[in-house]
Amino acid sequence: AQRALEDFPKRPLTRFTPWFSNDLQNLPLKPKNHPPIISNEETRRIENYLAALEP
Amino acid sequence: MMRKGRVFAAALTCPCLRVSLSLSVCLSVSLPGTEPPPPPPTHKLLKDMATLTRQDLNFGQVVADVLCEFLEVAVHMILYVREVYPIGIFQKRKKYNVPVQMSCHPELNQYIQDTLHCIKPLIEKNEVDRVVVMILDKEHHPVERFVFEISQPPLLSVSSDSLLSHVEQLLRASILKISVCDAILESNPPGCTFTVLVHTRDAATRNMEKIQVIKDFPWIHADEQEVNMREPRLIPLKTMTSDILKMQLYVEERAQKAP
Repeated sequence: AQRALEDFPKRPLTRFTPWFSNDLQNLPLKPKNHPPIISNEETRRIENYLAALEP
Repeated sequence: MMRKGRVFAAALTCPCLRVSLSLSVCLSVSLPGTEPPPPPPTHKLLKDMATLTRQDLNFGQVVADVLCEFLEVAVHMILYVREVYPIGIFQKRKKYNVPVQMSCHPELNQYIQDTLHCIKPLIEKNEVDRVVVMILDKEHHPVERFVFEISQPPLLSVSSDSLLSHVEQLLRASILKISVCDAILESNPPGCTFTVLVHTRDAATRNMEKIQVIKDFPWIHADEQEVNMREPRLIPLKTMTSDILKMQLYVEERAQKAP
C-alpha cells in the first residue's frame, strides 16, 4: 500500500489537435437523399414488435 | 397492415446484407434458414489476417471492412445517444464485447448501409481522410459534428497475435466513448436529423464517380455552411493507433444550440 503513495514516472500529456483542417476549396461529399423521418406510429409498432420478441 | 408488415420485415432484414462484412450483432433477429450464412465477424477476419502474408490478402479491403463495420455501429450509437431518433426503435446488441444499441427500422438501416457501402471503395483505396456524422437542427443547420479522422499507416507486419485483441480493444474504447459522450454534450434541440459527410484526400469532384456505387443513392457536394461551424466547441473523444489503422474521433458542438 505504501508503494501506491510513491511518485512514479509520468508521460508528458499530449495536446489534442485534429489531423485535418476544413478546406473550403474541397467540399466533402454527402448523400443527396435524406434519412427517413420516423413517425410516432412507426416507433410504437417497432416497440411492440421488439417487446413481443423478448422472452 | 402494410406498415405492420414493414416493421416485421425490419427485424428480418436487419442483417447488413449489402455490406460484404456483415455485423454479427444484427443476426440475432433472423429466422434460421431465411438468411445466407453469416460472414465472419471482425475477430475471425483479423485472425485470418494475422496468419496470412501481405501477398495473400488485399489489406485495403480488410481495413475497409473493419472500418465500415465499426462506422455502422458508431452511427447507430450516435443516433441513439444523441436522441436523433426515438429510443424505442433501438435494440440492445453486443459488439466488440460491449452492449451497443442498433436501430430496427428498415429504411434507416438501409440508408446507413447504403451510405457506408458507397464509402467503402474509397476507404479501400485510402482516399478518405474523414467521415463526419453531422447532426442537423430543424432548419438543417449543423449542431454537432462527430468527426472520424482516418489514417492508414504503411503496413510493415501483421504477424503479431496481439493484433486481434488490440484492434478490438481500440474499437471497443471508441464505442464506449460514444456511449458516454452525452454527459459532456449539451442537449440537442428537438426534431434533429443527420447526414454523413465524406472528406476525400484528393478533390471530391474526382471521387464523385467512384462513390456513386448504388444507382438510386446519389451523392452531391456538401454546402460550405455544413463544413464550417461557427465557433464550435471541440470535444476530443478518442485517438487510436494500431498496425492497420489510425483513427481519431472528436465532436464539434455548436456554441448555441437553441434555435
